[in-house]
Amino acid sequence: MVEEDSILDNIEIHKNFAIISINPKLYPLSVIYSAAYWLLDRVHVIIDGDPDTEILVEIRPKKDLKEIDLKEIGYEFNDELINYSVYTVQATRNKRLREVIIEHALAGNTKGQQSFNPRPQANLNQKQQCNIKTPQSGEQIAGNWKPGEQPLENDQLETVKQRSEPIKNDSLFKGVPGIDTEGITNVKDYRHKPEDFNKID
Amino acid sequence: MNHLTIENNKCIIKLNKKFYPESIIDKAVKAFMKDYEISADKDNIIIKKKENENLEIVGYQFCDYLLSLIQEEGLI
Repeated sequence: MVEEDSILDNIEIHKNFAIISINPKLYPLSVIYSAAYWLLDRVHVIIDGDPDTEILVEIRPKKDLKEIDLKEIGYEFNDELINYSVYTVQATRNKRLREVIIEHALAGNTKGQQSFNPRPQANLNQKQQCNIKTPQSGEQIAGNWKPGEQPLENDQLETVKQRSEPIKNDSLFKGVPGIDTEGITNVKDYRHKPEDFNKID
Repeated sequence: MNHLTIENNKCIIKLNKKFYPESIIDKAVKAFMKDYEISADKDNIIIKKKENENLEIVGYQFCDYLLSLIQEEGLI
């Protein structure tokens, strides 16, 4: 059975080399370079021709690799042209998507770094008013006392008693010179008593 | 199409400048200068025999190196 040559066969076989003809309207030069580069482990490659009409790729087997089928290499080269063309088309289509993914990845890393950034230093020239009461030495800010856990000290007990049992006015001025203690005692206790409210209709 | 010619212990390489930019050829010549006696003019690249190297193989290796440089430039 005689093997028919394909009418689309672009491979010309010579004694020691082969020439592959490529239509530059089908495959851009970058794709041809990539496909030719892929062959370099097995053949030497030289590119010639006219970038507008026809590109010729000459392939010669490397001398240390004698058993190379140049026709087979030519077919593989054609396959690689299609392979890199598809890659180029997909890369062009996905270019924006890749850029967005990278932007998001970089933004995510930046956010993580920001959470560890120290607070910006205050302007040292400005005087800031601080309304928070600063603790004096020995003063307890937050009480650790809970009912039943720790007994009150005597002075703390006295304070509680005073709040629950109102002190008479004259006792407030004990020991203060020039105060008419009897007169003060007669002053009505300003705190309302429950019976006072009975008079209200 | 004869891109490589071996004569008088010289390898003369003729390349189509439409496919091999001058900047790439200059880079490749500089790289090969370390091991070979190589020069380039407007049309040709000339590699002179230094020791017992096979000039034809060196010439084709130079062409392959040009292709690898082009591929690198494309990646950048």
